[in-house]
Amino acid sequence: MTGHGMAGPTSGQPPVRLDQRALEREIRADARAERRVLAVGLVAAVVTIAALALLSTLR
Amino acid sequence: MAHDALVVLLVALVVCGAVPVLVGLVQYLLVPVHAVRNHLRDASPYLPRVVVIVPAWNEGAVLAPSLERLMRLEYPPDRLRVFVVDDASTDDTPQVVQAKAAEHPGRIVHLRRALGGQGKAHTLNHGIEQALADDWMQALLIMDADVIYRPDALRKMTRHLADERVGAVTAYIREGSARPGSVARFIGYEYVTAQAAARRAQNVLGAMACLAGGAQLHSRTNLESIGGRVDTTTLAEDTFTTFLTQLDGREVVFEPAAVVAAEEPDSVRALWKQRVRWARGNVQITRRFSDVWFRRPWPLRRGGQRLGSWTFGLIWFSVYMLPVAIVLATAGLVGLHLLDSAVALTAFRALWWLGVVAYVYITVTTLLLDRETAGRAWFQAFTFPGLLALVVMTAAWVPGLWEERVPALFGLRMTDQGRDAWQLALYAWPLVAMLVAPVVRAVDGVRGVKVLATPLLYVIGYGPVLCAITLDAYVKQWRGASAQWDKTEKTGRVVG
Repeated sequence: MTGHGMAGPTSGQPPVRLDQRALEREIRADARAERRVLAVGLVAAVVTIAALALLSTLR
Repeated sequence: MAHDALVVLLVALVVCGAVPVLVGLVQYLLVPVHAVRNHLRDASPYLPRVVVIVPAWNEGAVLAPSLERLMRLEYPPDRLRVFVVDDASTDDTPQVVQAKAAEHPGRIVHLRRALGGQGKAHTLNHGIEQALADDWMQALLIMDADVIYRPDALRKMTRHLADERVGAVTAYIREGSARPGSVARFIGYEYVTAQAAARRAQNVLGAMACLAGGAQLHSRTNLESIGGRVDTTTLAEDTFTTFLTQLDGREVVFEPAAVVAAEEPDSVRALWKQRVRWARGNVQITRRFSDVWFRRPWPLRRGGQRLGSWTFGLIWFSVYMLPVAIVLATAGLVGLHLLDSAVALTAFRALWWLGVVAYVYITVTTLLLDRETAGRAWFQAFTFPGLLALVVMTAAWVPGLWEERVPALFGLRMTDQGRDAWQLALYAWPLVAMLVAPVVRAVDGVRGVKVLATPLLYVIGYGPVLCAITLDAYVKQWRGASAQWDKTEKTGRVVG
């Protein structure tokens, strides 16, 4: 049940495509977007190290 | 000899106090792993026929926008039906639902219980029974009357059910009050930690603690396998269902891209009432599933449920036992101070060194995970442990800062007795904060001094208030206090 050629409600917006290809594209896009949590972890680690270094200079 | 043994014992107590901090940090270190270890690779386009169950007891103020947004979901209209289960409301809920049902014939159904007041779980079961009575339904979404689904939220949830190993999917509930006050902003930040972060980590572990009550999507197979109804014997029917699903061999998935906005309490008193119910529910769940904990050593092994893994057990009990950990750590530090102040100081610094690392890493990760919430709750993120806890952190990291440097700025010098008292205050602060938290709640209910509740909340910290609520839940549960399902008052001011 993949909804070939169906469209969702529009509410004044352009109709949303809910066909197989569009939904597959959306899954791939979300999977790509989710990769950003890796960067989030890296940035958080860098900020943590920097904050600790700053605090250490106050000692 | 006895002295040394006592010192070792007290150090062990401090180590016990550090366990929840360490586990919290480990959980956050799992979040980036979600980039490569998530269920999207096994998801595929799937738009089943969904029945949405909306339990409603006097929800006239919030129902109309929720139903309207459901009707505007980017989902095939012929595959979506909404059952509003009206729990004998005494306000205009029936009129609101009937008006919406007339606007959307066949898509919104008004189910009214003649006798209400038994609580949410009974209300849900009334709707679930109706949905299961018809073969039409392939998946069932349980939501709250006040939540607002983003247009793409449902279809981003259903795609995971294409994998038959998945029994249920939950979404990311985001605090969405239009004009949030301090408490709502704290909750907004807390929800990013508890959902966007913690549930990603639980996806990685393959063990989910709880399907969010306002966004639980079940496959029909799963619902039938777990008995076709939700639990009515505890205060945490959503957690109960989550556990049953996983113990029955199916996975529970968190979909961070499916976003649902909810209005949350904006006073300490309302927060307290809501969270005591949740915490008591968790106490009940912990007991009911006592044979589940710590049964599987390898959390990442594929296949089977992983609720019994040591990692998940530690995560669950770190939240559940946090007040106990605080008491143990404080007892350890104060005891060490009396026996051997040098060891006490070393243990204190080690404990708070870990605390600072966890605080910075968790805060930065949380703010980056949801920048929308970060924009309006950055100050609450910074003050989450409390302003005085930040003083304790700096005292641990920068020896002499508060005892020498700051007094010296004013030409003052701390006496030896003063230093001793200051050190004890630092050691005992987490426990003191937890014990003072009920004062914030009490102040919040007294006209004239109510205005002090918010500044006090920032000083004490939102985290210690949550710990105090958990402690209160223990006490209420132990005393066998009446366990009613208390509705959280909502006003309908949610922006999706």
